[in-house]
Amino acid sequence: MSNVTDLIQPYLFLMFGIVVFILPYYFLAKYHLWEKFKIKLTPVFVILFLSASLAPSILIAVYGYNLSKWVLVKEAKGYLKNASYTLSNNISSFFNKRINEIEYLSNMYSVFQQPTASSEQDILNSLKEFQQKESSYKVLGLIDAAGKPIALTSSQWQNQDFASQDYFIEAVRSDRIYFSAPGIGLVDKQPELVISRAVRNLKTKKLIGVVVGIIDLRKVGEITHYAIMRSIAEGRYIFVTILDESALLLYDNGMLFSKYLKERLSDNEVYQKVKRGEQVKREIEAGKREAAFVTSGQIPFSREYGYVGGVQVGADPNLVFNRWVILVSIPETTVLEGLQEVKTKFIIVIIAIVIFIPFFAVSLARDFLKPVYELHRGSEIIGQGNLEYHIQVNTGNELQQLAEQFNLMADNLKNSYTKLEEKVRERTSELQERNLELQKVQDYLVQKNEELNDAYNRLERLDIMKDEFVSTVSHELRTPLTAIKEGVSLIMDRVLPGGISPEQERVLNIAKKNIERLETLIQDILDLAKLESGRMKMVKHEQQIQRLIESFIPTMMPLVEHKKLSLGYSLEEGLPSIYADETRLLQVLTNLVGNSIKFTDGGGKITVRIKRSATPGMVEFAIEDTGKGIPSEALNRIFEKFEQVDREVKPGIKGTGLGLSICRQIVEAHGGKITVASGLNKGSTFSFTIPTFEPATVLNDIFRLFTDEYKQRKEKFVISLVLIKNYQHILERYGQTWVKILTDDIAQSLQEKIQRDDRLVKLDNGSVIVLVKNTGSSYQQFAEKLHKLTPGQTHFYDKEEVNVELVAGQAFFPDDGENEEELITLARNRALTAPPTGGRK
Amino acid sequence: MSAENNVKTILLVDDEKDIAELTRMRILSLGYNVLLASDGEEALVKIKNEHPDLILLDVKMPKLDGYQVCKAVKSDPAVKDIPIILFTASSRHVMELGDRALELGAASCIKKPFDSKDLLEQIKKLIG
Repeated sequence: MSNVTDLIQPYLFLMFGIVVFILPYYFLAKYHLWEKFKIKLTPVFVILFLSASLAPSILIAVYGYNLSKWVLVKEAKGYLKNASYTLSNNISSFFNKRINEIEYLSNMYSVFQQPTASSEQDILNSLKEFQQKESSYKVLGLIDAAGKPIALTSSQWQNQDFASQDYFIEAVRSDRIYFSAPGIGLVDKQPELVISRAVRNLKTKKLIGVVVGIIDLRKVGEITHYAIMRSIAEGRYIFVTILDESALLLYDNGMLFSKYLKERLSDNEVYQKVKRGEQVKREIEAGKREAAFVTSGQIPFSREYGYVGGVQVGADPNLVFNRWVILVSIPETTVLEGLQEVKTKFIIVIIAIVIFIPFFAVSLARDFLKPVYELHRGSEIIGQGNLEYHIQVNTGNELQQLAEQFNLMADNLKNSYTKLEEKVRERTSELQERNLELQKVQDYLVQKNEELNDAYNRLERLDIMKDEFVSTVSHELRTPLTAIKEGVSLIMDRVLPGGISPEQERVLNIAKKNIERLETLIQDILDLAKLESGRMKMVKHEQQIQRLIESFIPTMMPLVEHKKLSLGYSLEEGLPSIYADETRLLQVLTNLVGNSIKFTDGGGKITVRIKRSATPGMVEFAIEDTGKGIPSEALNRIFEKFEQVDREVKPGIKGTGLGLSICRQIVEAHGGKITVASGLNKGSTFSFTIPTFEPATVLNDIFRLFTDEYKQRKEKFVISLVLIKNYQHILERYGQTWVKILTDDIAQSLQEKIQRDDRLVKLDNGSVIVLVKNTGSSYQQFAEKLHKLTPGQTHFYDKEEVNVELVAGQAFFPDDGENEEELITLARNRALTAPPTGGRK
Repeated sequence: MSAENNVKTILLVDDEKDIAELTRMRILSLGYNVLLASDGEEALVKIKNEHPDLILLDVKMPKLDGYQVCKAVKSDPAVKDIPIILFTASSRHVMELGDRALELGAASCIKKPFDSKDLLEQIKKLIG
């Protein structure tokens, strides 16, 4: 049983230890605990982890060791118990035999009356025969009643005073078997025990003597030891120790106890228990047995000397209750000898585990995770676009299937890519072809564009050259013409001495008329050239129609009166001012009225009607005559250059054919339209429209650009309109040019008061609009400065002091509205209705 | 400097010699002496030497144009009081002339060819 335990336990432990040791690694690997708990393989962690996984193994080793020890001790105790029984039986049997032998001898000798010399020899022989049979007898003898030996198997005891010995006295007195207390023999100084029996004649009952058997206790020890060894000890060290009643050591085959026993055995628990032998005492007292050998206790005798079992040897309590003790013991060292081996094995196993298990666990984890890692790595590689990569997983399970699926997927992707690449290549080459074609087209276009640019530049140059040419030609034509005209004039004015005849004067008159015609023609060509090239700037201002028409009509009167025509005009009530270039507008009126005069016969009537146009924001000028009218087929050509109504209709009347064309150009340059309504002999009506003067009309693109800036930045701003209150008076008195200079001055003084981001716009009517960013303080500062500027300024017109009344009004964007025109009108109204602050002289 | 009852002298500056000749005849008929200059440089020399009572100055001339001559005259204290009438053949110039003439200190401006009545009126207004 010991061997089996020794063999199995380490391996059980090893298996258990491996399982316990592997589990943490297994769980770490399986559930990715290092990711879950963000474990890093620092040395501290490794040490802790190894310790933690090693601790159970060590605990198990310690437990296993203790278990082994417990098993061994239990086993030893079992041995001991068996040994005690064996000892008990053996001692019992041994002494029963000896008692029977002594009884036999005693009975045998009871036949003698009185031993004779010959019988003495027989007795001796028989005694020797018994001693020969049983070697444990030191001596066998028959002692006569007087205490003198009749026969003794050993002569050593010849001089022994038997009569004084307790075994002699008590045997005679009790007349039954007597056991002496064990002790050291007086003769040979060896431990001994004496069994004695009185011998009486069968008939006479006369005391013949006493049979004495002195037993060598060493032999008893040897025999019992041998018996135990033979039956159960199985090569173990078992020691037999015999002690007397006072715990004096009588026999010890191992001599282990000798020193110890002398000092302490009497106090020993086992000894006490064995010695007390309560059960034996009771049984003997109850008459159940004469002597008994009872095993008792298998408790440790001492840690040093091992385990002790004991046998109490008892005798008749009525006589002598002599008790002595035989102990069997197994030394602890021999018991735990095997344990040392187990311990060594365990330590080796633990070391093996410590060294081997991490590798085992790691390699197990690696094997377990390797396909997963390979899958992971492979999927990453494939994911990065390396579709040639094949994942190698040969686990034969789902992972392998997964890997194969991955490889399949990569293959499919590769195929798709290949197809896609082909398509891309196809498309790319198509695109390249297209690009080439497009490039050709583009090159062509670029070339054409360059040609067009060249052509345009040429044309532009030509245009400029044409204008210059026209300009130069006009001048060059005019200079000789001036000389001719001046010459004719000098003669006709009779500046030079010597008269002229009436015929001469008639010729000179024709010459003069044609000179004037040529002058007009040259002037018209020059005007038309400028109008068509857009180089004639319309200098537009607010014009009062009443004033305009009143100044115009008288200029036409000489011609009208000359042809005996009537010229009148009509004005619609409450007409607004118009926004026009006065000179050019007068040119149009002169031209149209002039035409009417030309084509209307004497007594005819010419009317200029001025009214609001059907088109909003326009005033219509209509020149009606009662003239010959224009054939309808000519009406649509009448405004073309050099176009003249059929000469037959107007015999004798010559024109340049440019007048109406110039009129159309001027009207259109004002944003108006010119039309004609006429019928042959029904008179003609030429109508044209001119825009009314509105603040909106004067807003130029720059102003809108500024307001758009603010609107885009989503900023608030203030439109501050500064205007000349006595504008009309100043305009009439000092003229347009000076008003312009004045406006520039006002704008200049305002410019000094605004900030970098603020904008300033000059209007043609002497007003200045200032756009100020409305961010609280910036507008406040401007308003204060503005307040100092208004109400007035003094300007000089050629040393004449002119009082300029300035008023200002504000409109806020977006609080007052978002439409620029509305805001300006509002600001204007506010300026005009502002309380008068009085001018400055 | 001409005496009180002496005939006034007018310097006519014009590069067009034919026109200048005809104009001289007209001015002579009005009762004034006429000096001729055909360009700005010559004009300046004659103004300094002859000290005319009035200068009739063509704007468009080679070398020094009318404006420059006008400027030179007005910046010379010795002659700056001589009134100047600018004239031009170009209608475009006439429009600008008003403004420029005032700026330069010219008395007035007229268009060529001259109307005898107009011219006489202008001259009389300036030098009687």
